[in-house]
Amino acid sequence: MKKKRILSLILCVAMAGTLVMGCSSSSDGGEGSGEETGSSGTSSDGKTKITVIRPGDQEKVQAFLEPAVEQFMEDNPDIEVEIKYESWTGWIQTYPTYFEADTQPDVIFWWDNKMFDSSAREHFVDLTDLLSEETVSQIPESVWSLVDTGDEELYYIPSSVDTMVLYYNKDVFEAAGLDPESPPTTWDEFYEAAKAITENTDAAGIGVPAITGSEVLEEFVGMFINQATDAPILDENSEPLFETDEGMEAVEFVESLVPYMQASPTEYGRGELRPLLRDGQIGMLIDAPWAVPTFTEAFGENLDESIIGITSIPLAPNGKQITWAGTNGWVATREETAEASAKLIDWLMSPEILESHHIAYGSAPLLESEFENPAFQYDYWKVFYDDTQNFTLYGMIGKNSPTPSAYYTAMEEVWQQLILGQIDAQTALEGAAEAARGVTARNS
Amino acid sequence: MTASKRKRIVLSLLPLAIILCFVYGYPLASVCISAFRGFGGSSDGQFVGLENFMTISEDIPQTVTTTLIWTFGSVLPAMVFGLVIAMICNRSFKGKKVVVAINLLPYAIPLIIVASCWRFVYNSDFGLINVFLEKIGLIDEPISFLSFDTALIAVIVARIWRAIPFAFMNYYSALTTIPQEQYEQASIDGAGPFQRFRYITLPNLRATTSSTIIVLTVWTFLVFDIIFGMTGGGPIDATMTISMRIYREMFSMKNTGTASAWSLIAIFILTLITILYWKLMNSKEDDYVE
Repeated sequence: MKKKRILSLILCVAMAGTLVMGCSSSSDGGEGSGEETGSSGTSSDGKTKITVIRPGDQEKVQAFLEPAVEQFMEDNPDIEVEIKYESWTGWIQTYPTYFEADTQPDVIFWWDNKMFDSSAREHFVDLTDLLSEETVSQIPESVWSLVDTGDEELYYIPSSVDTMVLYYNKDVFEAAGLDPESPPTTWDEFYEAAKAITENTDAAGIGVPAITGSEVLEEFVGMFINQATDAPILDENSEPLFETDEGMEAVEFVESLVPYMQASPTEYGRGELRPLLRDGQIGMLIDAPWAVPTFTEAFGENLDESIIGITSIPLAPNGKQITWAGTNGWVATREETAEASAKLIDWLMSPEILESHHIAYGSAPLLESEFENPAFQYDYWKVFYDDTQNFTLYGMIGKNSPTPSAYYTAMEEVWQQLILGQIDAQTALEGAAEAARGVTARNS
Repeated sequence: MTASKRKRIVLSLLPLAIILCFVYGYPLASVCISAFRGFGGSSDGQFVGLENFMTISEDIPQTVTTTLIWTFGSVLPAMVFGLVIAMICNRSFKGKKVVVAINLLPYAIPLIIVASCWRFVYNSDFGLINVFLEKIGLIDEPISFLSFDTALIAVIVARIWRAIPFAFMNYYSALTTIPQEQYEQASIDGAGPFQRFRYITLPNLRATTSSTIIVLTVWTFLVFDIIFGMTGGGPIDATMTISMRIYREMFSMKNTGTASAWSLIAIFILTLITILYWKLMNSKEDDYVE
């Protein structure tokens, strides 16, 4: 009996001990494991070790990043770079935990509207004095305006810019009695084309991405608002700027397109609409360079000779050249490795690496020198490039907020009600503004 | 029981109690505390009373209603279909093993894959159902199964498909334990198939029914993957269940406080449902004993 008692006591102590040990080892392990896995810091051989992540398809990332990093380490023998791989979905789900545990990579390919992200903000490093002049000066002014968050410091270097353009199916245009060589250039022409296609063919006039939770509908409606108001959706205090006559004009225009959209728009994201344009089930689609691979797969690299036309976005009645653009770029996240991180970013932003990044990932060219590469020899790439250089760009919303995604979520419900015909333009405008204010109020 | 024996029992249960405290108690306590704390803004980290609940109060009636429709609309049909299939499989016929295996198949598929598969099945352009209906000439225009009016029914059907194997498995194993003599005796006494089902099968399945319905209800109530994968909670808020709200508050609004408030509401409703089920089952058991 006594033995059993002792045994149970030992068991209890062992259990409790294991738990306590378990807890302590996990908290101590942060630093230790960092060294073991070779993450950031200075190693025993005197090298500065940094990690870099470019979320996305691993094959595409490997194609440009591995040779780039290899070359970088050859040129900088005092720096050792480890590449981390993660899909965008995986990264979106895990990055807050990385930052919380302070195990985030040193250099990250980041979103332009997440500079004030509550999980990450305090980790970003000011690179003003660390980056080379060439890196900064090669970025067009329109792009710097797009990513401006009012900081004097330089935390973010835009590396790819994806502007919205109009894709259209030339066969559908012809069938609708429209001239495929004269795509719409204004809202009125855009409306008339959508109407003609819907009325004269089996195709829907325009494809509208309105699937829940993917931010696409806000970007679609938001772009028309940007065009009409010549202003961002939210001001620097994240208060709505679109409760104006011009904002109303834009929302009414979107409402007028509803009869000419594909059926059940809330079932479609951009990815689902591209095959519809390819197959002639919709006549027009507003999309970014991400759509190009769907069409080059079907029609070959030279889309200029295909049934897919690509042109600048139709302009609002004010005639101003304005479009929506999203950017991604590089940030550094640790003071102690900032110098090495900046060197790596300089290298990743050099024209040759930038070009291979854009080619591997199907992004549009950002620098004129990229047109020397055969991959960008076709005219349609010029549309993206010219828009980036010449248009006023408005981008993703919430860049001054710790919770940018919340604005998309809150306003999306309102825009969905608009395009499903449940509310009119006036109610939608007020509802969207109210939704945006609600998110801002929750953060204040 | 002697004092030393009692002490020994307490001591031997202590490790389990410690583990339970860490595994269940700590997260639960964290959720309770978070539900009454501010996250972000000027109230970050402070006690805010019922403010988090006030923030979400407008959405509570609609979300709870959707969640209850989703839960009971999925669980009850799944239980009925599971029982019917189990009763069919409880008979001897050629290929029975294959039928049993096929019935268990959906259970082996991860929920997020189920969601993707059903999105394809429902797709307006190339979905299996629309293509089939068009081919046999029943429809001219495709049906938008995931539209605002029908999205909730569409996700419920997917959930039923995924939940049937669990109900089937439980019922099938329970049916095999009912003594055949009871049926034989009843047949001799002149009981027909319906009476045998009503007075022999159902009472023997009471314990299985009660445990299966509770487990399925809790699981379904908290299922996130199917809705997330098929509709993302939309269109608008057509399929916005409590689980989707928790996700949205946590990852889109980045507000642990309101996400925890939704979690507490979920815990509260689930506790109520479980107590109700147990009471219902126990009272029926008492009736039966009397």
